[in-house]
Amino acid sequence: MTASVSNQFVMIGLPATGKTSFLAALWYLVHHGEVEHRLTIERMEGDSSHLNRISDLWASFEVVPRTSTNSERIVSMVLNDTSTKKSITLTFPDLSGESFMSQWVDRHFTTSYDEFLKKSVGGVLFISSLNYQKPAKIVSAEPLLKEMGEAGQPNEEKDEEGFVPWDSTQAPTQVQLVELLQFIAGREYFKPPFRLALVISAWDDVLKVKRTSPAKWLAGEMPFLSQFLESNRRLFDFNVYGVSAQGGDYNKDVDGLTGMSASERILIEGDGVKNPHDLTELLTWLMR
Amino acid sequence: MTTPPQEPQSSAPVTPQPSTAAPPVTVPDVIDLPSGNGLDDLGAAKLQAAQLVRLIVVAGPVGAGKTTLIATLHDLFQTGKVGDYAFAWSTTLPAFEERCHLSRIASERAVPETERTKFDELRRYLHVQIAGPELLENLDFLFIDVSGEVFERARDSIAECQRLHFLKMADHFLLLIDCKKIIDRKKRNQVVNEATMLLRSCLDSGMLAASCFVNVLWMKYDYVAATGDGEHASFLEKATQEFQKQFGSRVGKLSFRKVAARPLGVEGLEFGHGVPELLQEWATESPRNRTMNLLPDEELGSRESEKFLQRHFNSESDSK
Repeated sequence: MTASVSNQFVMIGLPATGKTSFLAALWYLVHHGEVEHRLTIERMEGDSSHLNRISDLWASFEVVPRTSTNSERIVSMVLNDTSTKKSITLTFPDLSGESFMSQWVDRHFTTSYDEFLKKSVGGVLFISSLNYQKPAKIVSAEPLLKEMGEAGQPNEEKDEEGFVPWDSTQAPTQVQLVELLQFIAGREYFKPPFRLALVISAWDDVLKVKRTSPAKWLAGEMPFLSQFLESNRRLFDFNVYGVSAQGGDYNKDVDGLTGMSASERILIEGDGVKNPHDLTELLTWLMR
Repeated sequence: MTTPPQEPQSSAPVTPQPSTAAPPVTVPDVIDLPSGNGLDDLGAAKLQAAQLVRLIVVAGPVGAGKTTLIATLHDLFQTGKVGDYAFAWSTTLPAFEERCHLSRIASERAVPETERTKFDELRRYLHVQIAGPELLENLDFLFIDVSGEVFERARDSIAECQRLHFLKMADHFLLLIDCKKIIDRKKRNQVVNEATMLLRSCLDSGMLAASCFVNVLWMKYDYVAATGDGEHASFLEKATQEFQKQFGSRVGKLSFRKVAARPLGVEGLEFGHGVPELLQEWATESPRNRTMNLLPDEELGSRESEKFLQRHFNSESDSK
């Protein structure tokens, strides 16, 4: 047996961005030969109950439960690279999105996350294409308010005093994500360039609306984050992927999805991706 | 980082105890991260000591739009590059976000507003780093967001002005004049006069360096544009000439810009009107960028001290 190369990556993402679904689909994919994929399971190691459970749910078209702060764990996979024949141990922490939100709001890392980050050689940043907060300006809404006529007239009484006070959880998603990356790059042990795969999740939903590339989607929908990454290529070596781990909406698309093998539901797009079902291409990019 | 609780000091006599294992050490389970608030004077000084930072002083009376101008730059980066410049970093993101809040739909206001800066605000520096095509490295800015009352006092008293130590470090001094008041013909002379007095106080007190670049900003220009009255434009032109006459030779550079940070439905004026041009000016021009005459004319002196003066303090090359 070839000596195993260890690769530790952080999974970063706000709540409900597809981190656990990604792990579930990946665990299923590496165990089955339904589609071509570069990394395959070499052997089981340690406790795989969490990965088995979420993978079973994923394969049965059931919603994979989100990780809560008290069910966070580190998952490991021993994989074989079919191209180089090398053995690779992949380790990810399956952290809750709330713990990342807490970094922005409460301004702290857990020591366990910090320790894990210290040993990580890269990361995967998850962004939901379905659910993100934009910096919506009042001036942009004015034409709409005018069209609404009386209903859209300014409420003078409310303007005097009544407004919703600032709540940091309501800050634009792209600002929160920039801060999470600044936190990483600001640690004293940070060694640039840090490899970062950005995953735009629910990519099938984006494609239903328009044909675009993941990098273009990021630049259009999250220009602040996109500028930050472009301006800091010295710090972050990044690539943007569109990923659909589920393959579609379980409520609307299930008939179409049941007609294909489970691994064929997986969709991945991005620079350098050759096989649209092979999630492990993202991992091989991180390990290159 | 959380600090383990300290044992209270006790004066009670120590009774010998049987040997036991050391008490468990409380390991902090969280690591504190930067607050993201505005920086205080010390925080700003540390940043300036660590890297080249351009300090932009935003000056003007209460309600002139100082905080709005700074918040608008952050808001513009939310939608894309500002001119040729991209956002690169900020150590004060939450501080920017809080200042933008009342202009966002999330505030549930019907008209955009900016919360007034408190008179005694200590965390008053906001940080932005930008990247740009002609910049060799990313460039840092600190914007100082001070209450208008502070500048009103500085205008009226040299002693008060001399308390504003940040003025001495300013690369760009922005003098904001509120066009919403300019369109009131009875008040407009007073508005311009107040701005003139503030600049004069800053210079006469010795706080604003003669090399500082001064940007006079006609803020809320949408109010002038909306009137369609050429007489107001003519007034601004005359006021500009007066500023030039009084201060053109007293500062490193004197420039003028029409700004409409959040224009209210005036055709031709987009959100953040004038801000991209200002950013370009701050990025490309600084009193610290001076042409040095490394090969002075031979006839100007043969002593090394004379050549040094020629290289570093040649007034002709400074004015280029």
